[in-house]
Amino acid sequence: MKKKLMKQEIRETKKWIMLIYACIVIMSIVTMITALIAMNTKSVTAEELMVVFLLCAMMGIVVVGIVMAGRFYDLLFTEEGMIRLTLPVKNRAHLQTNVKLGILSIYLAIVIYTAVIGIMDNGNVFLVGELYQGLKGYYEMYLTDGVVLKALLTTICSVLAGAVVIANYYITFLFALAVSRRIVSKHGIMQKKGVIFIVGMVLFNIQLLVIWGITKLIEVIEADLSWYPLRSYRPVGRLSFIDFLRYDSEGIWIKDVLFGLIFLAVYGITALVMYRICRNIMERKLEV
Amino acid sequence: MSVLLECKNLSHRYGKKVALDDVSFQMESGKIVGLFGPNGSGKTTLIKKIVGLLQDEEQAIKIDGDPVGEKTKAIVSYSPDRLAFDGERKVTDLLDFYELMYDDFDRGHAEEALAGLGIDTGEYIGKMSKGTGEKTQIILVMSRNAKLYVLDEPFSGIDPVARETVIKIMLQNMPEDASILLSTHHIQETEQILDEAIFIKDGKLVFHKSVEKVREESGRSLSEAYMEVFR
Repeated sequence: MKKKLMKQEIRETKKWIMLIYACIVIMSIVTMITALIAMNTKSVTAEELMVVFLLCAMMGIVVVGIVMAGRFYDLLFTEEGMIRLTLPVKNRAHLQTNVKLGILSIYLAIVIYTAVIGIMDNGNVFLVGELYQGLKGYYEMYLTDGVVLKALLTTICSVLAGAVVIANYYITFLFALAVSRRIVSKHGIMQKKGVIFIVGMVLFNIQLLVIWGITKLIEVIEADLSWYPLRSYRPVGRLSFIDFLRYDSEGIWIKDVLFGLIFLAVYGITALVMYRICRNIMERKLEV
Repeated sequence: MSVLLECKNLSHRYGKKVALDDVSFQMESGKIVGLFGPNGSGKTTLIKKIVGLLQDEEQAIKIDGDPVGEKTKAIVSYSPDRLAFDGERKVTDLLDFYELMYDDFDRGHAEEALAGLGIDTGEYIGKMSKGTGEKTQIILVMSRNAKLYVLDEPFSGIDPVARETVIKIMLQNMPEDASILLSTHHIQETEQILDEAIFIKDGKLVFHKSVEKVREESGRSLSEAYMEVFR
């Protein structure tokens, strides 16, 4: 039954999603063409246009998320939900399907975007390749052994962290809708869009706080690891892990991986918590 | 006949407002039961509890012996009190949806019934009149081979001729051992097809009797009895 639900959701959203994917491809191509024109002619207008097209292409990724979250909104807040929520599946199956499909659609949009930009930019498939090349070049200046592997590990960690952050943002969308539905039902509030707006704004600000918090934490760690002078001579083998990060050149890439892991942990755990609360609302508290 | 639907001390509140207060009744299979009451009496709340749109934490409702959930949703076919389909969808999209999601959906039957009423499957729901939309919804709901059909105000916005057609669709499509729980304000038109009637007022069950018994006891028709109770 879950497979059927997934098939139905794909059927319902594919027209819009395909259209947005096509727009992303077109916008990315136009971005790169205007970038080429800007480079060759030094035209300011072309440069500005490039930024506009680039933003449009990136907006496509956000729109994919909005379309998919829109399906969840329809489920919880429109008459359509009366039919969909009486389907012979557990209520949480609707959430699970939407989370899977929504996140996958967004990832696919990002892959399309980065692939088009990457191919047009010196044939470098995906911007991930560029990230890896950059890291490799950087590590080659400081490290001697296993630079390729280390750059690869850091790249994987960064991409994973990015993927988890994006998944977290999407789940925040659904979380806002599920919590709003619960508030609306529990207190019999008629202004449902107002409730969604308030809950959305609160969560948006919490997300900003989280970003600020993580950035500050990383800044503090970086400052702590960089500024302490070595108090006395110690052989490398006897350095603590913190001192190793401070004084050994190998610490450079470990720090990069660690920062990626911090993002991964914070966003991963909060996404899981929000998902569990959503699931609980869907299963035990949902009333439409 | 076996008990298909059982409600035992069912209550529901919207905040402080009591919508259902200790409602208990049983419904046997093979019966058509009318659910009557004035606006705000708790009919839709009761229906939403039965179909699982409102939580039944106390498990006060049992359908075919099971509490409301995945299992009961597979045997209950529900038509909400308003058109529940997105206007951007064509009738054929809805047929695809029902065919995919319900194993007991008879597409051929639905297409036949739609054609019989002159409803084009290529038409968008949003472009239909309210009545045609309601008819389409009833056809889809009744084209399932369900055990229990729960129809909430299926005649709202439908003209008297179409109402007759909808009643015909209901009776033709209903399997022999299935039941219909029908909530409506059109008592006169439905009285003849009903086996039993449930009267509900301010969230409380006034009575649940066979229509024949109501007529016998009161010496009046069901609609007259309704007027007497709720006036």
